[in-house]
Amino acid sequence: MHPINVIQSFQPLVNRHSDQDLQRMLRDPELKEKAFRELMDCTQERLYRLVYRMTGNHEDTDDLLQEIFIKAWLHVERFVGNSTLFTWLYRIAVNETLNFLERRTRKRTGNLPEGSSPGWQNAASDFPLWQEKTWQEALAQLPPRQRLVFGLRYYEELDYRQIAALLHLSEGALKASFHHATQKIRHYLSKHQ
Amino acid sequence: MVQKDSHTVHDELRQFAPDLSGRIPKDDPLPPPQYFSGLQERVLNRARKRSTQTGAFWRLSPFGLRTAAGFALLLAAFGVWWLSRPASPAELAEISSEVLTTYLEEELADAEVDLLLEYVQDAPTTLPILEGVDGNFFDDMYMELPEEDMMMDML
Repeated sequence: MHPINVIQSFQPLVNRHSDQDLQRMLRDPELKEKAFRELMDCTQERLYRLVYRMTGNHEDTDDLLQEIFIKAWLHVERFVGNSTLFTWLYRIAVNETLNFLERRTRKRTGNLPEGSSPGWQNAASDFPLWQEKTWQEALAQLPPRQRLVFGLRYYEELDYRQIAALLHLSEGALKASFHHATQKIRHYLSKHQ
Repeated sequence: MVQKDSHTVHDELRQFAPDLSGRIPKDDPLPPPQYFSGLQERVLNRARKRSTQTGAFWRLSPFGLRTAAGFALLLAAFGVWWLSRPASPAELAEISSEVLTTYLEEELADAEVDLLLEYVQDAPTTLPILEGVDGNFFDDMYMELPEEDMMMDML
């Protein structure tokens, strides 16, 4: 199914211009910056939340978020309009975040030991009222792709068809991934509570 | 366990992970105050700097592109010629005796096969192996038949 028909919920909350107008403005060198700023206004908070749920700390989220928008600025000419701008940005965010997490995982020696979650350790000090530490650790022990699927399904409340269009995976594989993630979380929580 | 299609993730969790349903924190992570106020400037400054750094290297005029393409073709042609040219005496002298021996053995083996094939091709029609108990009989028979027929009998 054509992505633009699937991810309707990704329509950005644009105050002044429609998605098609923004696409047209981004291709105009004189209007590109204005359009890009508007696009950032509409999408930065949602992308921040998506990336933060994957990284678990503000510093990495900030770096990634900037990188996502920089890549969008540099490669906007390649956007052909098969989806909404937000869906396109979302894909960039997903790819950048997954690459970052996989690099971070490779740098560690061995698997993340149970109970330790470097990426989430500072969350409580940064945002003391946000999440319980055990829940943070339960999420952090998931592999990056499972964590992403869980986040998209639970926090973004996307259905499997939308996630499949976003990640180019089958719905069956996504369902299995989500269920594996919930099983791992349940197992972790049962051992630590 | 048969999985039913669920409309929402909460339905799905209630069905497959009831102990998880309702326990997952749903709070949204918030950045530090004023974080977004400077984000656009930081992004655009870095993007412009990166664009300048990468674009300057690859920015060529049409003439420059044609010149670069022509030079690349010349380089490729020279490389092909260089790799396919016969070895000079100096290069041959540098080749190890082991490599030379292997090369010569292979070449000689090929030459031997070629020689054998030529011998068979040019061999007289009355090969000793074809002589019967009474060699005269065969001699007489073959003397009467045209040469091409004799070849057919040998096959």
